[in-house]
Amino acid sequence: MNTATHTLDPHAGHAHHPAGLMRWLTTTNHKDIGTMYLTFSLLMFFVGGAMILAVRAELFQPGLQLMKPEFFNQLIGVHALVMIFAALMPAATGFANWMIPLMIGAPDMALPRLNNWGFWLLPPAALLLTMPFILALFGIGDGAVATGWTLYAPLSVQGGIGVDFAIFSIHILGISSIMGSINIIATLLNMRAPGMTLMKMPLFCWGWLVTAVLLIITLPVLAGGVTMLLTDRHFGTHFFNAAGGGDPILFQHLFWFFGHPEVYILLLPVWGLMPHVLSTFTRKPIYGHTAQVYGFIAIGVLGLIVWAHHFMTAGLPVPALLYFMYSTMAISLPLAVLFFCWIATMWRGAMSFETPMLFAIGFIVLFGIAGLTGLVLADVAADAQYHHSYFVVAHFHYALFAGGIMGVMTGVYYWLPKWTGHMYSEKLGKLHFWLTVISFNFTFMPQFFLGLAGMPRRIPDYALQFTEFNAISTVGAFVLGLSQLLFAWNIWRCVRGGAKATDEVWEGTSGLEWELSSPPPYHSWDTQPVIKSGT
Amino acid sequence: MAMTKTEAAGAQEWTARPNCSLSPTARRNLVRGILAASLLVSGGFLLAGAWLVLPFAGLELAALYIALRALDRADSSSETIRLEGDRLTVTTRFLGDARQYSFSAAWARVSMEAGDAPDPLICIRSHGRSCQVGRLMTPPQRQQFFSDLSRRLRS
Repeated sequence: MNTATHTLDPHAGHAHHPAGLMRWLTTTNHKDIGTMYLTFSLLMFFVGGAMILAVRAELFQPGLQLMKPEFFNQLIGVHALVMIFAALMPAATGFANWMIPLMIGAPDMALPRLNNWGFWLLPPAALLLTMPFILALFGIGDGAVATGWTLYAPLSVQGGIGVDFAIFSIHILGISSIMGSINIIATLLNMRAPGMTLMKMPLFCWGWLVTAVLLIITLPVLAGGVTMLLTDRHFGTHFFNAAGGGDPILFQHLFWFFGHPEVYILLLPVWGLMPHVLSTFTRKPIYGHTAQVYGFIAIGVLGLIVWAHHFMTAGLPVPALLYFMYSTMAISLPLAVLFFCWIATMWRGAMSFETPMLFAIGFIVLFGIAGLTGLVLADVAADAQYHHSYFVVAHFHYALFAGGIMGVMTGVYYWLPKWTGHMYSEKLGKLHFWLTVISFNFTFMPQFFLGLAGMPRRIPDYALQFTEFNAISTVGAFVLGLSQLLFAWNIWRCVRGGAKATDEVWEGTSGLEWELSSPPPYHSWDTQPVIKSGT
Repeated sequence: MAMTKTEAAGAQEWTARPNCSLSPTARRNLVRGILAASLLVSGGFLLAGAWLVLPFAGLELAALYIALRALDRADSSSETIRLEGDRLTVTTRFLGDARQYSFSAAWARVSMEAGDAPDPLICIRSHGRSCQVGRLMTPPQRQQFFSDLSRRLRS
């Protein structure tokens, strides 16, 4: 991107900012808010991770060793909700807050106060989600939501107070997401630097634009669905109660109309980030910028019309099954375009393998496995066999851990020197990568075979024939979990100090964000850059 | 920040506006597009019996509309400084609040002074009256405008 910018002194007179606790409580600065989102996300990543390690410990051997089945169900449900809503989504929002204004040459987000409120809704929502565990210790209620993250009726209509806590938590998280989405749409559309047309906008921003629109369209459906669930539970309505003339399958439609696009909501920001990383470490321009933009849009649109493939065994009519099978398979086309562009960006490039590049390559390979196994699950006939088995668990962890969380790790390693002004330890980063990628495959690859052999998901006990693969999976999970401490340690060291990062940080970077100092001044782009030519 | 300068028959005019990359037409189309998609979805669920989706969609669209209106108000801000003959006229418009100041060009003095903004603003004063401009200019634009106006007033 060729730009003409005015020289900016990062230590100009107005680089001052409030200090202490009040800085973080009242800040409207996009960098502060981005930092808070990312810190919150990392914390919740460990909370959600600890829950699933307890689950994996229980599954190490057949039989019940450590916990009652009810508690096992609660851990599984809250693990998913925490990882999706409190770890992965805030991480992507943290990236958006930090990077979007820097990438488009805007001094801040369009609606900074809304931005602050959006973040500060998250901690109470996370507290609501996890509080029933603590209340149960004092004899109040029967623990957290035990329905899985899908909250399927009629189980959720009959569940304990954990369901109510989860419903209110989802409402608050939804309000936070809506605030974030409105802000991101307004910022991306209204605050781009002069000369930055929509098609010149960085792909990370495009990924987020499609994500924000998807959130705006789908979140009211989830909000309506869980509110109907609440009224069924407490106000005598029968939306989902067959005995009262309601339809439990309606809840599945409502949930998955949000739930499937949610997968793309989690992944689109990462897909937008990948081309930047690949381009940097191959020292080549991004291949197929326009094709990737249209790919994002096509995936967003198709993502809205395929929701029922998540419950093809619920008794849908055959024409509906065929429609959802073919439309789901159609998503592989724009996704294949993205894969092609990522690989073409690397093709014959002068590649180097710093930690972000390792994570990006790991992402492409492992997320490719998620895509291919997703095609198997899209097949109506095959899905009847695999549905509710560990095959599905393995598939969506290849999508959301390898695709989502490893994508977030790629972004953290890529941008951390820009944010902090210090280089992280490459040695620790590479060790973290190899431990993560090996232990991830040890954890989830056996689950494909467990699923194929017929082991159902969401059970604390299982048949003896599944013992060995479960033991391997559990050992893998513990190594995976513990290796994430290296990630946290590396970030902490980098925040505290280390070798000074240059403004450009990496050799092959391009984009406005790299023209600012490392770390960028507290108030950046108070002198508007102008985009002259190129993309 | 967008800064324009026009000159015509003995009159110079400088106008500063906030940078906005979304035109009013595009903004309207955006709202219409999201409204249509949202109504299509919530209308579909209404027909399926899930009528509670509709009020949430309405609330969300109202929030989007209010946010874009707030941006609209901010984007309509402007600072216009017109020098014509002996009159120096300053018109400022911030969040719908419009003010006009008129000075004699022969007596008007300009200086860079610290105001409530992070960087020094341009102060125009004459006969005990003063106004500040430059809030919608970047520091280099402000410096350029300051030199330009000072030179014009001296000549």
